[in-house]
Amino acid sequence: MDKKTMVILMADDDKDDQLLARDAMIEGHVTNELHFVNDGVELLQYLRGEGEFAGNNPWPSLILLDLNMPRKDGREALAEIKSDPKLRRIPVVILTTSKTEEDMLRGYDLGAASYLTKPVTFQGLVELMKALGKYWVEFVEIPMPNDH
Amino acid sequence: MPHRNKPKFFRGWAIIIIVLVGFLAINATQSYRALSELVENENDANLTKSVLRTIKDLYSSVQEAELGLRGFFLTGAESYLGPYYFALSTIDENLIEMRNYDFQIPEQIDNTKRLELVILERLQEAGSHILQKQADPDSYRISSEKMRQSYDSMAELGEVIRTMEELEYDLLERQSERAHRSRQNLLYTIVIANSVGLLLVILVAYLIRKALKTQLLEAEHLEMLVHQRTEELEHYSNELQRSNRELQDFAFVASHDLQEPLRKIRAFGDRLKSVYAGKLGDGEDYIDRMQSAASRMSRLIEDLLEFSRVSTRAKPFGPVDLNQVMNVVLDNLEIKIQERNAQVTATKLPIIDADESQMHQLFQNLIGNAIKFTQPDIQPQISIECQVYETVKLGELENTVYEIKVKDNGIGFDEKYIEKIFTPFQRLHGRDKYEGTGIGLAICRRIVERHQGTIEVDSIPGEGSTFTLYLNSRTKDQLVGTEISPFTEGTPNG
Repeated sequence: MDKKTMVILMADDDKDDQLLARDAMIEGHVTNELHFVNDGVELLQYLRGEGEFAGNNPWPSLILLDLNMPRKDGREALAEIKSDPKLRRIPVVILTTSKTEEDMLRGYDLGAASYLTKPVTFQGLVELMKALGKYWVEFVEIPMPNDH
Repeated sequence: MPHRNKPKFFRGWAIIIIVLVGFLAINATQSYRALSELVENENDANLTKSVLRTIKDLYSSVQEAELGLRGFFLTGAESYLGPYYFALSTIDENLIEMRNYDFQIPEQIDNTKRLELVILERLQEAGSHILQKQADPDSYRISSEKMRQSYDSMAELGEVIRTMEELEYDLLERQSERAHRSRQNLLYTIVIANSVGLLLVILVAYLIRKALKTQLLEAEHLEMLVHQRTEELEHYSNELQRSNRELQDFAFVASHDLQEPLRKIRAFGDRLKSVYAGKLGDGEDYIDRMQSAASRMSRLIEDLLEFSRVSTRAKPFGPVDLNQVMNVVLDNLEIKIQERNAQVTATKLPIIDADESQMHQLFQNLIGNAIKFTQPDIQPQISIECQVYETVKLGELENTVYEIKVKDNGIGFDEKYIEKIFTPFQRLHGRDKYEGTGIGLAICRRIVERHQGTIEVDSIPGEGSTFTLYLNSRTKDQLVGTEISPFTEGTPNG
């Protein structure tokens, strides 16, 4: 598959962060498609093609997951994804403001691929997006949903 | 309150007891008097009986003498005079006795004199008759006149004796009555004394019981009060712990959530600057100032978080080798030490019961400050010294308090600011001169206090500062072995 068409799905309730992430990707010349969902409930609906996302849910190669979200937070959503045989192979990178050790350990325990804290400066965010693009898009081999 | 009317209660009983004891004292006097009266009465009665006996003896002796006399006169036989003379001597003795008696009835003295007179008269006459009869035994006769006289005198004698006897018997009767009365009195007194005594014993026993009961009640009441106070204190302590926890949660959440909007301000500032680079003119300086303010605030929040973490991120205590801690800290500060060409000397440090990461933080802050606040033209000299301050034995366990001094030759400060430097975000210098938010020493104090130690500082402006730590080899929690400090999240080791 064409690596450039790989879709990245970002679950974050913060519209500012969504905007900044998009800007940072553009600034960092990461050209992949970036989709957004606003909480854990939407995330799972998207992945399962339910509700408003039916037919409008390109399969993501990577999920950027915020931990603190309304309705269903990142921890619950992650647990659900990792317990779903259809979804559990999607790499989930936690991108959060929380620096607490407890959150990090729990994130890895639940099966997160990486644990990242949101950089304070925009430049930092650009670097992070570049690195993510380089690693997850260029180097990492990711199974597609029809792979068994 | 029961203990308030206790004095009144006891005063009432004291009065009753005093009255009873007074009553007993009067009673004792009474019985003594009655007893001595009885004794005296008996003595009197004995005297009376003795008098009566003497009177009887006297009378019978006189009759014997008369009998002997008559026998002699009737028969002329001298042998009758033997009993007569014997009777005379007895009469003599009895009369002497009579004279010596201390009569209780004054009339008896006169009666005795009369008796003596009659007897002596009679004996004198009898004596003369005997002499005449002896001189003329065959023809001497006592005239009928004389005979009648002798009868009369005998009759008189008998009458005096009877009078005397009657008087004495009367007296004896009176004495007997008195004795009876005295005995009765004594009996009553003894009965009353015993009753009062018994009453007193019962009363005292009752009072003792009552006092004991009161004491027991008081003790119970006291125990209840102590229990109540303990509960109150416990409640207060729980409340305090809860509010403390809430405050910490608040500080944590606040500093955490405050970072979010700040991050946005900085990020969008960055975007503004990069996207509109060259188009902003003077605006760029404003953005820089805004960014720097936001970054400073971020630092402040970060430090506040750090400050609250002393308790929210507290780890259980365990043995910590402060020498290792010092090595790590000096490693961390290596670059700064070289930059300032600082000389750092440290003596051997102890192993203490502590939170290792907090010990790192503590010494890093203190030595970091010593390197930071240096004088421009003097080589910074920092020394870390340690000595045993005191050793306290608590049961089998021993706690050593170590005195650790971190001394520098830096800029120092006026000691009037001592309280200020340990308060969060209090700074003595402008930001442009020395960086930092002023949280370092506040964190140090918090760490030391969590370890149940103390931190002190001596300083002379322009000469340097000495921070003195007093740290326990074993914390009190470990020594007591039960209570967990409200700030620790886990149980201390040991």
